[in-house]
Amino acid sequence: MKHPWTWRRVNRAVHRDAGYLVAGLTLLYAISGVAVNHRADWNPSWSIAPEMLRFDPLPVTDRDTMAAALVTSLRLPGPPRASFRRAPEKIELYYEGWTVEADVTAGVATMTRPRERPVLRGRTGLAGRGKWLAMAGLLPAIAFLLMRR
Amino acid sequence: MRRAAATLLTLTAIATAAPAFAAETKYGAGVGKAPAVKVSELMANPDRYVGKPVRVDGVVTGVCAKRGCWMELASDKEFQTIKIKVDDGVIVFPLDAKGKVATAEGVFTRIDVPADPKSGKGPEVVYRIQGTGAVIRCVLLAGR
Repeated sequence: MKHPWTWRRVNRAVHRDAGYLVAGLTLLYAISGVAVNHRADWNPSWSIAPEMLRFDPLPVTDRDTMAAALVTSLRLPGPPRASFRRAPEKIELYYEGWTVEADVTAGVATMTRPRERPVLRGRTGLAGRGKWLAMAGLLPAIAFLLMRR
Repeated sequence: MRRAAATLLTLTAIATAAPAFAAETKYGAGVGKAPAVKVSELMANPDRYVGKPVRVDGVVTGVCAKRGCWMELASDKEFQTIKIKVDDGVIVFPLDAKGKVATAEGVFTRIDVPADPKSGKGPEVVYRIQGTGAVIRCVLLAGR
């Protein structure tokens, strides 16, 4: 049964549909507003959860000896692929995708394993990967257009 | 038609996943135009290089944790590093670059940091490279 288009029906439909849109936009702007105002407090592309470790203090020697001693002390899975000292007692070990920063005299180390966020990504996403990959971003849109037919 | 769409989606997945397996990744304009200079040489004779384009290489020892807007390379001399600063959002260095070998290029810059009466720190001179491009590799550099 087809209903007649009365002013009341049109008014109600317009307000309802506009309300859905505005409610969605309000939510979107609220979340993005908080995110943008706190840009300095978080990284949209990576989550970082440092883990504090303690060990018996080690002697300050040369970098390779200190690295080997730290690997043994913290029971790390083998030698790092690179290492660096910021100061005589501070050494950093670099593994594939994770790092250990230690103060050997204080016996304190921080293990950091940054993880890429699965959905929320900043400019390191497709747009940050060069023009060819940015163009590749158009392919899914074209694919979905083809699937609609 | 659906087969064509599926092919397109597969190609996209391969294209976007490719950088994750690349042996080296280029950022910005890449490298190769500026003369290579050791970081220790830059720090020993900074006035000779200020304002000039330089190319340096070393192990990545730090990356900006918030925006990937800078990375720090280890010098050939112990306890010494140099910061490669790039424009926010133009080049974004990945956080997992730490420990990888990078070559970076840009203009060697002197920054005069004024004294801070609140913290009691005196005026300071900081040298860094205003980066225009970089290449990060998944290989070890001998002796580092």
